[in-house]
Amino acid sequence: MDGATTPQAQPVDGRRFPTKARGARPTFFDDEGATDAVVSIVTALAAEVWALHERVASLEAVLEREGVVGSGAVESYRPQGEEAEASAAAAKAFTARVFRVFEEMREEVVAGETSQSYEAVVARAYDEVRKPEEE
Amino acid sequence: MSQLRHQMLPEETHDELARENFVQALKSHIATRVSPGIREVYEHRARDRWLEENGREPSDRHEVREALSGDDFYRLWSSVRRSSQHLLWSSVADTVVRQADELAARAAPASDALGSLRLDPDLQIPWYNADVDIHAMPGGYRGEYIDSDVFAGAVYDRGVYVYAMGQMGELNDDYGHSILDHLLRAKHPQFTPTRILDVGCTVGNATLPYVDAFPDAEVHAIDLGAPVLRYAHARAESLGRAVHFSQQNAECTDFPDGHFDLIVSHIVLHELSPAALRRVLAESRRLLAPGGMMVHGDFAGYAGIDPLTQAMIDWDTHNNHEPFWGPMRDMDLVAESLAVGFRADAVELVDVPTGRVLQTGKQSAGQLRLLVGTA
Repeated sequence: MDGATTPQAQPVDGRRFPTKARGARPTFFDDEGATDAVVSIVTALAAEVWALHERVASLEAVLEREGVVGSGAVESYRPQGEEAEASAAAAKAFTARVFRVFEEMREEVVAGETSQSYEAVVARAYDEVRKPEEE
Repeated sequence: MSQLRHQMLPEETHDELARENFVQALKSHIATRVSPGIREVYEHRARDRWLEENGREPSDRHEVREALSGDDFYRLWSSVRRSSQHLLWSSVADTVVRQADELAARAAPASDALGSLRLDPDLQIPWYNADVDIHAMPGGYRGEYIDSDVFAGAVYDRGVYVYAMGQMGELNDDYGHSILDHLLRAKHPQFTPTRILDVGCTVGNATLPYVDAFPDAEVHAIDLGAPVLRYAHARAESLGRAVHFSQQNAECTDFPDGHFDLIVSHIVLHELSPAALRRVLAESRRLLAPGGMMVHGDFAGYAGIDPLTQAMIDWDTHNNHEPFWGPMRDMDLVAESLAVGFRADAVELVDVPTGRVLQTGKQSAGQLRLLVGTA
């Protein structure tokens, strides 16, 4: 066997289990991980919003079915069959809304639109302010 | 289809389950609606930028990656993909942490067990399993944080199911079934092993189908991590399958020469360093009885794939805690098998379909490349 054994991942104070894997997390932007952290926060936030959505959907379904919310009724509710399929489809649509920006960016890429090409329009407009078209 | 609720599987709360649902929707969305943008970015601007700076087009996956790495769409896509991986594990880990003590207690081996569990507290964890926790699973396969810890096993069992979106079946056992159905039963119907070894078994999810397929065989399974093996043993017992689990390094086991008729592994090769992979093949050769077979199932190599597609696959090597993902794909596994003593006419690569969905004839889910060697 080659190489020494590295210690296992260790949790920070106040936790019993680690939150991350051994080995550095990659960063993709040149700002010491700041943008990547924002992406993580937004992604986690999206999961929380979705969890809320599912909770409300369950609550509504239970209310409709039973007329009244009993103790633990929402907690124990699990969509099944067609309901589960509808929920999966709704999750897809929800995700598409949250991550719409990627598709906007893709359209830009294919169209060859850049901030320079946009600024060229602005520059042309200013140009026209300064130099009224000859009649 | 939902995951089969055996006794060791942690139980999610309503909101934990909702977060898992979100992770699946997010991963699926990235794959189908965002990832195609990388090809567009490459073809419409990244390649041209690189061409302008270098006077030629990128010629291999490393140069393609270099060309892409400065692009902000690529960066943001990478960042979201990596975040989705963290969200997957943290969502599952929250569920397991809440029940960690109860699961550890539940896993205590019983005196009337069908199989067995043999741990080795002195086993040295090799560098390739110690320096980087594979696929960014917190604590890896070997992290132990409480007495009789099964955290890693529970996180893996549930995490794999969520990661694969259930396509590996209600018991995550699809890869075992793929080898059994499409190789052993289809091409070697007379082959009836009496002793079987599953290498790098983690929670024994792919091990159990061999118990059913060969009811008279003695089935062994090894792994480096104690917490996954404790979990694997308890899981197999709760499902009524007899498996002998032991904590061993597959490069140098304590089994005698020629001890097994069948040695299998399932997506393990790409988690080994190339040198370790060679030693595992050599150990497979040593452990096989005459006429015995090794079947190591993993993903296909890079040969014959265009550089951009290679670069897309190779993203995980650099960015998803899969450092051996790319190196394994560059290896000639047939040549490596011959180098450790397999005969040239007794080694082949066989592609088999995966996915329970596919096995029912409905929909394609994937493909596994098998390195098959006969002693």
